Amino acid sequence: MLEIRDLRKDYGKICALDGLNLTLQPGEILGLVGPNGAGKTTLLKILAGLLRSESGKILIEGKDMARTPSKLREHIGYVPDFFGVYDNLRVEEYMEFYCNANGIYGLLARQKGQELLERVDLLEKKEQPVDSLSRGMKQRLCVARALVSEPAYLVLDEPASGMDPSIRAELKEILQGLSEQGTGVLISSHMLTDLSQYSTSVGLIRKGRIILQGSLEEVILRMSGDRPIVMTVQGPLERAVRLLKEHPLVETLSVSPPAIMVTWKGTVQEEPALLRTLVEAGVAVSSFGREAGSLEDVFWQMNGKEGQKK
Amino acid sequence: MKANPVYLKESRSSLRSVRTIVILMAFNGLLAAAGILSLYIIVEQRRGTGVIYYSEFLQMYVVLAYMEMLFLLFIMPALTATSISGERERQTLDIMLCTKMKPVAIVIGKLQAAVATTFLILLSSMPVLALVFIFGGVQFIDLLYLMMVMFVIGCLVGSAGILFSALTRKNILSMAASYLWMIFITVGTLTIVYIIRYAWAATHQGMVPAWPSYLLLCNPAVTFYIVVNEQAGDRGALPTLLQNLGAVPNGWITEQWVPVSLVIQMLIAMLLLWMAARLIDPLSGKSRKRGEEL
Repeated sequence: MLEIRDLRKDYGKICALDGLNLTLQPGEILGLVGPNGAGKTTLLKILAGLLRSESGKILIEGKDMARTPSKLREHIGYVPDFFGVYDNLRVEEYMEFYCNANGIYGLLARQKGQELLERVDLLEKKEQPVDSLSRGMKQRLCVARALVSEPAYLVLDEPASGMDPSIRAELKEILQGLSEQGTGVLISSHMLTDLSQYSTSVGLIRKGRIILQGSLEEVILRMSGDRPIVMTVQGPLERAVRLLKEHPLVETLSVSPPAIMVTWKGTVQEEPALLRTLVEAGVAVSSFGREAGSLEDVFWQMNGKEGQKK
Repeated sequence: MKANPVYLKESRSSLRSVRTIVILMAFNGLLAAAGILSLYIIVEQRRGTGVIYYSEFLQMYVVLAYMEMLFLLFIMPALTATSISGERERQTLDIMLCTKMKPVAIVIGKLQAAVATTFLILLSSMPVLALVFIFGGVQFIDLLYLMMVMFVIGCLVGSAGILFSALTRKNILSMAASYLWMIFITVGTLTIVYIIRYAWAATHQGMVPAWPSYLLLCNPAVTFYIVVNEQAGDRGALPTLLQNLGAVPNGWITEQWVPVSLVIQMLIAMLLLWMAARLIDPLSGKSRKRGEEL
């Protein structure tokens, strides 16, 4: 397990990470969501061994590696938000170079390179110049490169930015494949719809802190606590509307037959009581629940700009 | 021993580039033209008498050697001054720093590649230099010695190129700084010694000091001048030069000028490389990339 405790990083007077806590399990795909300047890139660069934190712990299988970035690099593969490829090398040479740079030489390097190219479905392109690859292929090559040291965890910084949907789908497939093989993936992205499709969990980062981490459903539920309750009623709505108007915890309601939307002042635990009241009064409620939220809603909610979206 | 991965990659790219082939052909063509022209003039001048002076062939050797030195001084900054800034431009430096390679290995690999490319071109000129063997006067071991001296000079000039490349973000700035450094270390140090000599003499009743001459131990052009002139038979090259610049310092250092200067120049090259490694190390606190993004 990768565990980050009280991680702090300052750039002069600017605090980039302010006691950040996060956990990543093997096989988990954790989506890091937050506005620009929240500290995502700083966190990923620290994990990649490219920045040193001021304080805090980075525990990998219980061992603190925050003070030994070279050790961190052995366990964590890094895919930055740019390709960083050598256009004048062939694909297999490119992989061989990174194998060499990670201490794998000769035949082993060639074998390793081919194995990784096969994993990202680029083996047939091995003799082509890197220059001739499409953006999607270059992205896959970057993932293959990050896997050279066989890291237990992979961190990706905005890997899908500027990619078309088919490339993003390919990336999703690769990440899911890695997850199935037990690699823990931490991915920072603003492609929230994509992220919600393949993330097994989400971490919300704001002002250098993780404000919420959990499964996608949990996070949406927690962040959607003040979303309206939407119910569908069969038959006449008058009785239901009257009961709701009289209910002390109902703040406002809007009717759009057969649906009624209620702004609820009460807690999540008090919701079943409202449903019971309606049903016991003979109202035929066919559906009842909070308005479905999305990761995008969570993002706006987190930034306090819900209205802006609408 | 495993080869440096950066050296392997750079050499691969360099050997594939048209630029290397063009430089190789142009340099050899120029050198061959100079060599054959010298040979022609020597033979033509002596056609009437039939007397051949070895010293004339040695002069040809001096001319060819100086051409090689000039090539080295001009090509090394060009090859190294974009080495790190180019990686930054391609955004590959961070990725390289995420591997098990240490920053110092990266800069050494860069220097190795530049030196290897330069020496490939210099070695390819051996057949032209071998013209001097036709009538003797210079031995093969002299050529090897000359190559060793040029290797050290290449390291000194190249490591400065790498340092400036690590220091600046723009290739053009790095290139300009590298050439300025090359001019400073060759012409600049000579000028400084000359100025000190006159300034000192003016304030010390005309006494000419010997100690400023030690600054020339850092000057690769002086080392090269002494080596080539001594190989061409001028054993008094060093005392004459130092005399012209001030007094000749007596002692062990003057007697062993060339080996001492080579060691000093190599040490300077190592210091410059170490500084470059510190500059690219993201964890050293010297990195210029800090605080770029949150």
